[in-house]
Amino acid sequence: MKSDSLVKIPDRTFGLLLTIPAFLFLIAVMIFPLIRVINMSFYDYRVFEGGRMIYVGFKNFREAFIDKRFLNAVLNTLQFTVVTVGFQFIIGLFIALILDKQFRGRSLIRMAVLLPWALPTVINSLLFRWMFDGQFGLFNDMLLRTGIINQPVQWLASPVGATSAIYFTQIWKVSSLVGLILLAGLQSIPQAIYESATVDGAGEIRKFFKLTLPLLRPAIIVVLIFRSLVALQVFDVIYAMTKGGPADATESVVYNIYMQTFLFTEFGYGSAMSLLLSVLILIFGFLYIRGFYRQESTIGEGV
Amino acid sequence: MNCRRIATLILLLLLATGLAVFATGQGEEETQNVVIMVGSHGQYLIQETLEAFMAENPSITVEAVAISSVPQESWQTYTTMFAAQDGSAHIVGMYPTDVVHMAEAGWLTNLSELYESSFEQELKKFNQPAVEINTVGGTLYGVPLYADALLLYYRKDLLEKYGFQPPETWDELSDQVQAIKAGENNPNMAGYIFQAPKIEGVVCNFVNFQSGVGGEIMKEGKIVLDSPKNREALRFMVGLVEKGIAPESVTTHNPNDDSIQFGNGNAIFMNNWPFALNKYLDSESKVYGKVGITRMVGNDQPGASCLGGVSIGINNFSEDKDAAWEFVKYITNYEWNKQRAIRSSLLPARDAVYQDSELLEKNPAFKLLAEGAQYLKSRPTHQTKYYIKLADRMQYHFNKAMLGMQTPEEALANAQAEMEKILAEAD
Repeated sequence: MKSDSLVKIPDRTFGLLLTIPAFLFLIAVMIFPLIRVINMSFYDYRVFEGGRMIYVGFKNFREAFIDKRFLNAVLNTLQFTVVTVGFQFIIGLFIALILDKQFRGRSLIRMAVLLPWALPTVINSLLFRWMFDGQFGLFNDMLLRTGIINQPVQWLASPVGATSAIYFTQIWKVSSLVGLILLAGLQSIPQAIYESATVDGAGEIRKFFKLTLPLLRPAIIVVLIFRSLVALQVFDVIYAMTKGGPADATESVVYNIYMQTFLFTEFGYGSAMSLLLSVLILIFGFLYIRGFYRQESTIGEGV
Repeated sequence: MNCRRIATLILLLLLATGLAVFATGQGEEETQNVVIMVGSHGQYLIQETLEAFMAENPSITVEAVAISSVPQESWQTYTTMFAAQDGSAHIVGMYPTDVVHMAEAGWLTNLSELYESSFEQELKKFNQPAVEINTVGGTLYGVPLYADALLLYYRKDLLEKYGFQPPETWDELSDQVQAIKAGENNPNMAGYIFQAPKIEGVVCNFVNFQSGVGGEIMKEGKIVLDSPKNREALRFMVGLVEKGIAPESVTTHNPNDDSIQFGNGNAIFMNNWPFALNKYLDSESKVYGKVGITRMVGNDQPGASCLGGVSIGINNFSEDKDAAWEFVKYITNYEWNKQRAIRSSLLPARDAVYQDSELLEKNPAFKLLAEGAQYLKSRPTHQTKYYIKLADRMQYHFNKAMLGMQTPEEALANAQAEMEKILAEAD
């Protein structure tokens, strides 16, 4: 019997209809909260008046720009991003170059290298917090025994020490992930190019800077963009290791947002800060992409 | 085929609706379901308590949900929960720092609407400073569940070895630390450990020292932090690190870290809460039988311990408040206060329990706690609804002073100014 149904549903419509649940989910989880946050940033949330919202226009944004603690957090976050992404990249590239070579046990090493990244961030941060402890931490013990220092260092008790500890923890954790992404990029470079370069008389260093890096550029850009956007939103390592301390030396923007919203119930102010962070992130993304497109046009010329 | 496609669509729709209904709605039940949400320290014996309650009250079921026992973390849970007007947790455990804010925000139920007039008499049997913390504008919003006090622990064996009695003044403690450290010559052994990171603990420890000179943080709703007496207290606290009596790591340690350090035998004196004692009562502990607790040391006047503790209130957005109230009365009764004191050394919220003979017989270590916990000093948590914001400034400045990044005088002056600004700008 010919299935002569009442309604003919064409392929494309059927496909679209099937995506509706997912789309609704996306609206609920992403779009609706986003609109709500934008809305809330223009209001003052009165927790002691039953959550009444009073319209205050751009007051929350103006306050953020003169809030010393927020500005300090922005600087801390920018510094964190530049330093940790920089080191992640260098160490990751190093790991990728090593793992690109053939050697015995390579697959095992590749798996092992991924372990730091697989460790949950909070657990990682707590472990390092103990290792950096001034009284009975592992690092002080090692440094004392090898004679590098002769007094225990109170890592988490000084702004410089705490900042270094956090950077170290973060870089250790994510470098391997960067390494694996760059490794994938390396593996897509055909060996033939290196061989012909060797025939032409190019040395290792020349090959690296003139062939490897330029051809790796797409992977590098991806890595830098993603890691930077993530770094700008740093929270967990700070929350678990120092809670923004000592004083406010390690506070990040997201940590500030957390404080204002979850501790002080200033939902309006927190929303405004979130939007400002989003703008900062968009600017970063934009600058990267601008840089990428400008570079791409010169790749074809030098090789 | 098109028939099959329509059928698939209808099936998916039904599935989605079915799941939604299942997820959001519960079936109608004859029994009332009560949920109590409290931090891990308050979870001791809670299973037994609610099972005993359910046996006596078959029409009510009680469930316990654990949240973090770190005040800041449980507070986060609450701001999210109550901002969403979520009434699924009927009974909520609160710290002194939370109560006023929660009551003023309309998150808690006025308990006088639920209790019988006879309960007013019952209330008098509870520790009165704790009841005061739960009273906002004359209205009761919470019932104390257990008390907590920042006690002075010490190594009995070390003091005996050097012929010392437990110290009563700041100077005695300092001298004893120096003598013992010189005698023991153990680089791993710290003198006096306490908590001074940028957490509420630094304020609690400050209050301990403040008690020895009679300083106050707030008086009649006004900030009086920058005073000669408070300067003396903070100067002493900072001086402990400068003179090496306290290790620099106090600026990074929380109560748990310190309890571990003391438990490893690496400290002579420690400010910490009663929970730490439990670990030392285990015969496997390195300091088993060597732990003493004494009254906090003072200076011009005898010292006192900062008051903490947990009380329970009823969520204003919940249903079945009467059933919840029945459980609140039950869990805070004399018998369960006693059981918690015997089996987990949680300080009772009812004064009479301290004298109970069964308690003293079954938990001899309890006497230690009782001795230290008699002398209490509160933070001004019930004088303002902005305590959390104000405390943030104190935590910041005290921590900076302890790190040597500003002088005690500067810390108090700055904190005073910023706290006054917060109150002035408040709605």
